[in-house]
Amino acid sequence: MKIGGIAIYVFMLLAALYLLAPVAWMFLLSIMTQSEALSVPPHWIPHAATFDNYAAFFNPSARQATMGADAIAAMPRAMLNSLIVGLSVAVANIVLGSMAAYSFARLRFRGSGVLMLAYLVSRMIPAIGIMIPLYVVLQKLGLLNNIFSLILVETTETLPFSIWLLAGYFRTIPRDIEEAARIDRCNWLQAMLKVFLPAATPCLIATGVFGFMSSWGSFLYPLLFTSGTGNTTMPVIISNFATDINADYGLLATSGMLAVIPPFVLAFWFQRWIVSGFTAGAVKG
Amino acid sequence: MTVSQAEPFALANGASGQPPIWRRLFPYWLNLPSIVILLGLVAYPVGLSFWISLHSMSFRRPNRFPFVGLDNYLTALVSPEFLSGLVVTLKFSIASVLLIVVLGLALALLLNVPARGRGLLRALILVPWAIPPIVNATLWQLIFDPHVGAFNGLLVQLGLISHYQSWLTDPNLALVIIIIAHAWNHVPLATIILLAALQAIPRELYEAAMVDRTSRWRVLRAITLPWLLRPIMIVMILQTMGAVKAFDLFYVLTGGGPGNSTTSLAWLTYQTTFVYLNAGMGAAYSYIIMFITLLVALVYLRGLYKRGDVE
Amino acid sequence: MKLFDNGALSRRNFLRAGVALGAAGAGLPLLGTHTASASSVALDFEGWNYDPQFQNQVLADFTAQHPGVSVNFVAEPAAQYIQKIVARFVGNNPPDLLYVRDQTVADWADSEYIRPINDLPGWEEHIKGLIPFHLSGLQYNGKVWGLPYYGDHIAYIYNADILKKAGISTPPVTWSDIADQALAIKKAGLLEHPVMFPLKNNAGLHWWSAVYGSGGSIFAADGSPKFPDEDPVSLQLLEWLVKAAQDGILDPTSVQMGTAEGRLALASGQIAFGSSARYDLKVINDPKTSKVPGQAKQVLFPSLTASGPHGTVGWTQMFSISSDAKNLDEAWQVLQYISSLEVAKRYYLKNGVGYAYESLDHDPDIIAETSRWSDQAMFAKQGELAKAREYITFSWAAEWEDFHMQQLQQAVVGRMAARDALQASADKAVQLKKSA
Repeated sequence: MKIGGIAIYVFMLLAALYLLAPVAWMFLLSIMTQSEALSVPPHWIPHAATFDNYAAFFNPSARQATMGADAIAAMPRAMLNSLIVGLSVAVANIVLGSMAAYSFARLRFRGSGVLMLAYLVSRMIPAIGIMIPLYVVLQKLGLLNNIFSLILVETTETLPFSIWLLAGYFRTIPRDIEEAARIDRCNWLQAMLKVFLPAATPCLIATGVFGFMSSWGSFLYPLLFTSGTGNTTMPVIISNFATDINADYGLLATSGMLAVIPPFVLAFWFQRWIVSGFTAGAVKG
Repeated sequence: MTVSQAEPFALANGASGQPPIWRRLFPYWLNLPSIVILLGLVAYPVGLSFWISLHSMSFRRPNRFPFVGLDNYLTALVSPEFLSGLVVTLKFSIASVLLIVVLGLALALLLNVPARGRGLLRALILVPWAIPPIVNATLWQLIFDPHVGAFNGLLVQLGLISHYQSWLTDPNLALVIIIIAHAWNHVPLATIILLAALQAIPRELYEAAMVDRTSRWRVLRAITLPWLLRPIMIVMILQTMGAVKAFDLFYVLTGGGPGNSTTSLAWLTYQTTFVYLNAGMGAAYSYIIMFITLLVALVYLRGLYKRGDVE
Repeated sequence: MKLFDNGALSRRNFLRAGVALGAAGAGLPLLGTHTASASSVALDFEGWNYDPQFQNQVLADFTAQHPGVSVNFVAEPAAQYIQKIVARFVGNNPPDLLYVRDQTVADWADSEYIRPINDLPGWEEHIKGLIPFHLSGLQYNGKVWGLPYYGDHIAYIYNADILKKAGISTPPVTWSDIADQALAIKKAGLLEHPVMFPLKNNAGLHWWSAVYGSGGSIFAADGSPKFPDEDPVSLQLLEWLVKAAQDGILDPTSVQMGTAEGRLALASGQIAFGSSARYDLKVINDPKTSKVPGQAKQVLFPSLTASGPHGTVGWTQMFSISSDAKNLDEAWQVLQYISSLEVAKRYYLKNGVGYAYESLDHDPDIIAETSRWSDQAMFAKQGELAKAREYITFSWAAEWEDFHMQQLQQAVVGRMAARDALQASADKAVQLKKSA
């Protein structure tokens, strides 16, 4: 028993290392100067730790001289855009996903099996293959260079999984509670809002977080569908630091760290619900 | 109390005067927004893409696009580029899905053990999940950099190698590194799903085992793993879909090389469409990828819904 | 519009028809394309993200002098620039002005993305006094398709400090000098692999430079490959690389190295010999971005024999006007302004990237700037020997080059004989040429 206890902690330590070490290296690079980042062997503890790279993002004029200055200046706006897109996609997944999922979980209708299959199949299309047709559609809709186009496209990408996840969870909610609401003279919408959806909170949150995470990291869509620094998103700006002309390890690593913080905070905040939200999907589906 | 599935609309509306047609259409109304979005932004582009795949269309010479029927598909299927891309995609998908399942299972079991510090580890599992793919790719590039990377530095300092190596230049190793990086990024979602399943195991199952003083290993084999079979299948479906489409890591880490050792089908599609500007061929490749994914998914789904509990 | 009168269904009609068809089927509402009608002229200008701040500054100066014209400049990530431009043109949403690399001029001219400037007033004045490889980069099919932005050549670079430590007093002239000196450096325990040669798929510039360095040629004018036999330089060079890899003097990373990785390797002080864009010397010799500031020196590109000619690749990038530009006069005004000698000089003084104007070679400010981190005489001399790549007008160039670089990688890692690798590449070129 004692040995088993120690073994557990050894494993936990290994797991923590596995999960953290890669990011730790990125963090170290973010607090180094470009010259120190090139050290051989690497400095595991920076000799001259500096938060200049972070400061640059808050006070872009300080780094005027660097090649990445333009990208740095664009970062706050891009982060904001990513947040708007991410949160909108999360909400869209919750609202549209719940509606569709409810129909699968509670109602019987012709073609439901085919429809669910169609949703799932749409997840299997490689985005690269439909990029140009999609561009043409968005152009015709007048949505190019507009983050609404990204909200639409990212919602399309994530919705099928959300519907599937929510439908599984909805099936585990006892019908009694809706019955009870009916007895209280609630109409259908009231019953949904007051009783049914609150009972599904963990899964709604998990769905939202999933939608946010997926759209937060999306790169090719915003690259093609938006232009300029005003309406593009964080991954596009990050790729600026990675392109050959601007290569600066410190700024690249710092932009990476900044990109990790919002989704991590979100996931951490809702951690408790995420796991339980996935339960029904995992077990019953 | 159970409400029969056959009673379609018990809760729809208190008012009894609703026309039946409205009731019958209600489920479709609920699905309407999703259907409209998917038709406009998936079905239609996919249709147009299929039309393009039947033409010899290059974005270089876009004014000529003769109809060629299935020529692009035939060319693709016999070309050595396609075959080696298929092999790379298969190797990558199988290896990364297996790795993700194994690591995800190990982490989920670990996180399910009632021990101090579990909460912290549960928070840490969210870290790789929070990393956007493009950051993940540059992150691993920084780690495996042949001249200044952390991996080299670590191995030299531990005395395991005498001087810095170039890890991404070995054709086999390059793919292994991409698999490792991909798995790291995707393990969290697998862990969360499996952990969710573990926590749903009815206590009675374990209590019975406790009475019998069954060994931990036996409990794992006799109770836990069978219970997890279904969630594992779900993880595999999701991860297979992701792996076949994976693109960012190939792009940033190896650009398909050395040689064509990491040129996967998704990467080949990107190159063909956006670098060689061969739209017809690129569209044909996407269709082939889609078909493969569909095939694999159907195999999984058959396994998953074998018992007929699909709604 | 010219796209409509050639009888055949045009590219845009093709996609438009497709959209209408699909949209009707999908019940998708079609919103008409709206054209903005503003009182002052606003131009849409797209480029990649090399110092966009500078470009915006130049455009602000232009607007100050021409109040009726405003220019909205958008900088895209350099690595995805072509994809972005293709999407914009195919999606019928082109910019008015755009950056163009010399290797895409032929494609974009044939696709009617960009228009020649030969019918615009005073165009001849702007191409006088250009360095030859810049001028040839602007031309295709007997027309001029843009005016110069910046360009440079691939420089051969050595680390003076490492050579000194190894007791080597004269920099290398031939590839066999490099082999000898690298072996000496390796024996002295200074570096494990002193030579790098970028061979990643996107690093074809370096291979071309090496071939030109020895006076070789890769393609005949009609696109027939001259390697491996008709012109032996390719094969001899590849055999040199294979041997260098076997002898352990060639950094094995080379097969996954592009220009950016190569520059970082040079700046990290772990490489004694290698090629890079000439302007990279500024970064490699800067203490803020390098472990070996001031130690990177340029020599003429090495050759197989002492007779030279030590040529290299010169490339140019330009500003062009799109075929659909709505305000041609204003676009032409902007184009002339931003490509001027004065702007090129400012650009050099700020970033060190090469200019197209021969007369700047003798400009005292330019000379002073170059000598801070390199050698102006060497810059001018190597620049005179630089040539554009022979394949830049071939529509299949990118596809062939990817394949070619893969074959070179296979040979260098020992999976294929040098000759077989080149033969495979030559066969591929013939096949691509035929199907084009």
